[in-house]
Amino acid sequence: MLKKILIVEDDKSCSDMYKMRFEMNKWEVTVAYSPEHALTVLKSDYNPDAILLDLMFRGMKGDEFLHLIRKEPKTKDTIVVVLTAMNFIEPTKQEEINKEADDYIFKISIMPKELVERVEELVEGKSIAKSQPKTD
Amino acid sequence: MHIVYNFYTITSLLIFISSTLFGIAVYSKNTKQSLNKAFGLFALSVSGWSLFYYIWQISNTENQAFLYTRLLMAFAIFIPANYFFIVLAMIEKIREKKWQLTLAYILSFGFLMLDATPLMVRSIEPTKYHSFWPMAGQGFGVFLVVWFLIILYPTLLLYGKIKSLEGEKRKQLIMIMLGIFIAFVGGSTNYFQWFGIQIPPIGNALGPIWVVLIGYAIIKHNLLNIKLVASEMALYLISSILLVETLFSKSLIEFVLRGIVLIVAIYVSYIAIKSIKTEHEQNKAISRQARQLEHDKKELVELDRMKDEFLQMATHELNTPITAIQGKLDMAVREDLCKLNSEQKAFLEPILNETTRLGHLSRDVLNTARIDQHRMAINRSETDLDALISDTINNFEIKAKEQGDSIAYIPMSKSLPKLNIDQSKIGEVITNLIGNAIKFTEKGKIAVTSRIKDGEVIISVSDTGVGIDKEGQKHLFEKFYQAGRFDPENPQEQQGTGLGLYISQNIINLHGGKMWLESVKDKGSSFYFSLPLEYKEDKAKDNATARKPLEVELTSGKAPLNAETKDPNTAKSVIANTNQLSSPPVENMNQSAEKPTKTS
Repeated sequence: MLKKILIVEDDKSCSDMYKMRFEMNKWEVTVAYSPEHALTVLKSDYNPDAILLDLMFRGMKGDEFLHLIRKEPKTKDTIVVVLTAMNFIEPTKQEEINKEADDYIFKISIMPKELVERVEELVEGKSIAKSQPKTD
Repeated sequence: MHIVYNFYTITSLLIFISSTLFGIAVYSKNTKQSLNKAFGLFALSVSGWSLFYYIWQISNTENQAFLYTRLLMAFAIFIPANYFFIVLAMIEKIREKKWQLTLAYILSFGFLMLDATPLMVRSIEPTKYHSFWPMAGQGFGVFLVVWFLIILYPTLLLYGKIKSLEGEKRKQLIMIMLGIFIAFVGGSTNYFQWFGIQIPPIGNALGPIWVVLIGYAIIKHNLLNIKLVASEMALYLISSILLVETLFSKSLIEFVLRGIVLIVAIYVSYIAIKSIKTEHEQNKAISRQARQLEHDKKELVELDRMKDEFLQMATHELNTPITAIQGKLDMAVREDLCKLNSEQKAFLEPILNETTRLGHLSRDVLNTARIDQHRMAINRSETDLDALISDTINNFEIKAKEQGDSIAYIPMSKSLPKLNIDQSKIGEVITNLIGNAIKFTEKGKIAVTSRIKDGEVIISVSDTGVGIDKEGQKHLFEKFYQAGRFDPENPQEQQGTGLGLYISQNIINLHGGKMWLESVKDKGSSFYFSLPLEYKEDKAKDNATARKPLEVELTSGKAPLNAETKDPNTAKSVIANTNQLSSPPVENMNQSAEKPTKTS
């Protein structure tokens, strides 16, 4: 079964690029152009293995979205990689994101290929962790 | 009638003098205002009462005392109604409560009638403390109850008003309430003897304070200052006592001497009050300025926030298209889309490099803006510096080989302890130093070393490259300075923003360390930076406060949770770490496909 990723990104150029790159690695990609849109998508039966989340949006911000989905049982453990085009974020916000996201990456410093590999690494890591219950 | 010089005569005389003076002062200040009129009436009733109180005290016969106590009562009867009038004027409710006020005056006139009968003052009898004291008639008890009610009602109105007010007006009304309280405590001591209870009217001494407080509240409510009021009252009391003493002088010499003392006392007090007034004015000016400063500060903080928001927006708007262009070019060059021939590849690769350079430029300029505003945030976390250095060196290996350089990390014999530093930013610094070393070294050696000295880790990046002359060394850490900028023979060396070392040095300084260099022209350079082994939060906070007056919390040094894996730009999360300060663009493309392998 194909792994599913939800890309939450309002910049079409970027989302197209990521979509294309993930599809090359056999991912089923869904793109939401806003967190509000993504919330609607997540309300359906759709259950992604990973979410790629931008931070800056016109309406609801990425960190608010992240906070909301972490409260939902369905998405509380879903791999979320936060991507940002901003060089700096308020430290308190940063701390929140560090707590809730699985990874946090500057968009500009990662090429699409490495991004896909990073997400795959995280998703695989999670499934390994699941199959091997903690002994300590 | 002979002059008696005792507590009762003096206090009644003081009340008389104070109420007359304040009454005239307040009334003459504005004869048309109902508040001033009300106070005039009030002062008149108190003056009359106290004057006849005084005369009664010096009476020689029972008949005299009887007459003066009746006259005294004629004025005292009106004190509550006049007080009611003042309160209504003060809380601007004369119209609303005119019937109640009229009733109070009608009742007062009724008691005035009663005052001419034995119902009020039955007789004069000696008491323990006085030779002649009035005894309460049958109507006196009723009078006292009504008298009390007429005072109680406006006092309740006043209290209600005070609760709903703020600022000067509130202070003014509180002062009046205080005056009434004092007057009641004082005045109540007069009535025990009327009913045969042997308690002397010692509270009379508080009488002047009431009048003065109310008068003061009316005239100078905008100048209310406890120190000033207290001083002026003290002056007034001292002068009044001295005046009475002078008037009661037994000889001319005594009169003259006491007169001189009185004048000197008034003069000295006048000087003292003047200085207090000046001080008060100055304090007012200072508090005005403080309020202004507070306001300005708020505006500055808001401006600061807007500037921050702008910078964030600017970064976002600049970086988003660069990300898309860079990413798509990278996909094209890697032949993710289609096979490319060598010509096509040779055409696209420089575009990718330039785009990456543009990305660095955008980040460096914004980082510089951040530093200049003292808003560079340091997010500390436990970091393995050995691993960070090794990873960074790995990222440069291909580039170094292309230049014919060898690059090596020579760590200490035992591994460095974990440091509480901003992993991503220190990574940027190391990347910048190694990038520069490779840039200016051809077919040479680059060595990175680490050692511990005096509680600090010292990292050096040395090369056998072109070196920097003395003049260049002076300016190297300045913004936009580029070594070899004016060297027409090395135009390629001018690539970069000239911000890398400036940013690096600031990052190190923010960590409480130092950055310096040793270089010999044509022999090579060594760049050093130190980082304290122990991170002391307080020290860092002090440092942060000094640097960032408006946003102290930014560098409070809280390490992000799980920062090791989640911090952007860590070797783990940002593969091949293309996010490098002023590093030559080529290696990014060549190495971005490589995964860093941790060497430790």
